[in-house]
Amino acid sequence: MSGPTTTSILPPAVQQQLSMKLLARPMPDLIHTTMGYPITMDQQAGDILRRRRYQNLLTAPVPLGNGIVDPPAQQLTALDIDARIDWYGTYLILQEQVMLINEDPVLNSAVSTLGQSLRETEDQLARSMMEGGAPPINCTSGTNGDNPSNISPLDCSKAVRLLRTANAQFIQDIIEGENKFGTAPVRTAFFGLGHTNLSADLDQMLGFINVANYANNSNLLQAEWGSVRNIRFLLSSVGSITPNASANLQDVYNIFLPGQESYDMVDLDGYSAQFIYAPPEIASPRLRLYQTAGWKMAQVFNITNTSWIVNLRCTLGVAI
Amino acid sequence: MSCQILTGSFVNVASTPKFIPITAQINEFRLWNLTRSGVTSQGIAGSLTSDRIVEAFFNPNLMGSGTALIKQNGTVAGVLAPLNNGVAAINGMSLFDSSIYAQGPTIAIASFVPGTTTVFTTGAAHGFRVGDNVRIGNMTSAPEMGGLVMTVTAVGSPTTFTTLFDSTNSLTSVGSVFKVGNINVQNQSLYYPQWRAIASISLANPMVVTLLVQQNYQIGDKVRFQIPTVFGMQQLVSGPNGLPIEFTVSAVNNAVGTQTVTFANVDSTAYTAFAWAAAANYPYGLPVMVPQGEGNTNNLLGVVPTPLPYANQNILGFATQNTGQRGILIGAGDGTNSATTGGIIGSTVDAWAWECISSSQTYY
Repeated sequence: MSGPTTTSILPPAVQQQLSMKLLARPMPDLIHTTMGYPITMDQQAGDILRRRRYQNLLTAPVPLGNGIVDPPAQQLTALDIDARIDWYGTYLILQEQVMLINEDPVLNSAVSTLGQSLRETEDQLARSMMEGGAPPINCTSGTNGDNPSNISPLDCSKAVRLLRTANAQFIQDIIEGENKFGTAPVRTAFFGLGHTNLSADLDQMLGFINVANYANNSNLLQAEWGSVRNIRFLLSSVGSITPNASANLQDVYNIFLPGQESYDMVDLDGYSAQFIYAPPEIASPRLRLYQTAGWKMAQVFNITNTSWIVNLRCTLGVAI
Repeated sequence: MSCQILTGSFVNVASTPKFIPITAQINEFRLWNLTRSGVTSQGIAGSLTSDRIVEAFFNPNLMGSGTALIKQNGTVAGVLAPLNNGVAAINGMSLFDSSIYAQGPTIAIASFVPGTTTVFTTGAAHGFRVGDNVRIGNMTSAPEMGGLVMTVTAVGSPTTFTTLFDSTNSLTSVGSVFKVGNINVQNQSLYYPQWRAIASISLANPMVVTLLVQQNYQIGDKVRFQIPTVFGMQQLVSGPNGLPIEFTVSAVNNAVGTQTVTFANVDSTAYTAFAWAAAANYPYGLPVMVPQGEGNTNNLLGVVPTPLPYANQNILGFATQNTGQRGILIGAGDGTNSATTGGIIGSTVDAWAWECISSSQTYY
């Protein structure tokens, strides 16, 4: 045989090389657990955690006078708030041959994806709890003709008014104005936890301040999009949507506005997040054919004062 | 790692789908109607019956949701019946997962009759059952009803159904409706208790509140109300200081079609009447009853607290909990594989046995 030796004549023995730099996975911002008040329940103490809030007493503005007769006594009463923990978990079964043949360290990725699964489950549970329990108010001042309407500054004000009238405390302090071009002060604020599809509607709103225009952006959360009136919005791709739920059967976007200590994030002592790995000699003792890895947790989210959290419902004004 | 076989039994409620919660992966599900096969079981006398489904098989990986491979009795002769093999095309079996949103087909609403309860007429057979939760929308001349979820309290005919919505102030309208769930299975929100939209509130002592969607309440549960001003009865919302007022439930009737909560210590006789606002006030917020926590029944009129003197100890009705479930839903119809009226569970009360296989490995 004569002639040039090309790759047709002499191909590489192996055509691919797997890059050991694995591709990034999509990781949503987990916004629904960020405002939860963490509390731990003791083991061997039942599965229901009871919390108690005493009711305020009436004021006593009438003078006692100069007599010796006692005024009427008030009764001290309390409200009990209960929550029952549940167990959650998922796992992988990894065949031994998978570990032996694949070029990348599969178990490393397994651990990483399991960790993400746990945190996303937590976030979903917090979101679901708020969907069911946070009292709804509809946006009605938007212009799209639906009910709820698209979000407007007035709707934001109404939601904040409701919370403040119930004495819900703001989450964030004021950001004072500074002498910087293009910036503005930001009011004391509740966080609004919503879906990323709302970003265009927020951008369109009169008075919206993007995070880039905050006078000081040293304490921003990654998911923060901007602020309107007394609400700073955290947006996530796993924000809450109720499908086809408006008057015109469009998707309804739930924006949760929790005040301080409005909901609990209860876990069980020593059981908040467990990574469980069973090596082949335990998972498959006869021939060590596979190993397992998983996570388990005991948890419940619970609204402790429904007057201190609001679900501001809206539809989109800017179509997707 | 091993294959799991789960087994169980139940007695169905006539004409009512049966949900069996199963945490394990469901690879195959088999079902036997013992009663209609002539077997006496679980207190139900066997009765070998012609033209009834007596066996059903479902493999979610190989078969469409809501179907089943069935065996149906032929004509009974003495103590035996021949078996006919076939497919249940509707109301067979389907996997169910509370965390996954499921929506039924959209049905056109042709009209409704305004009244203290509302009877809707659809343009085509709706297929709803009593206890289904449906969402109304696109109501052209009654937009105030749009987006509301209501429990179906009666099915008058294949094209009519009733809910507790008080539409006295509404104009009849065309629109759309679809099923979003059933009172017996948790919705996508997973958690109990949930806020509920108010259908009506009485002007009476004690005050009675009727809800649009059934929920399981308990005496001693504590609630508050959030009612937009256009609905009236602002006395329930907040006191002179603007703070929300809380109320303790003294009696409940959770039956579908009643769906009432009674407040013995509330005399609403002199309150401003509650009424669903008319279309002129559209859009507005929802009037809702919001679960708040557990109360103390010691001071409730007409309620004997137990155990004395600590009448708050056994009240856990509003303990927040995740009631989501996974499992299999067995459809109901006339107990045959009829393409229009069929369903595995029929109109009789029967004893059933089932077997679920959770495979460790599946080969295709």
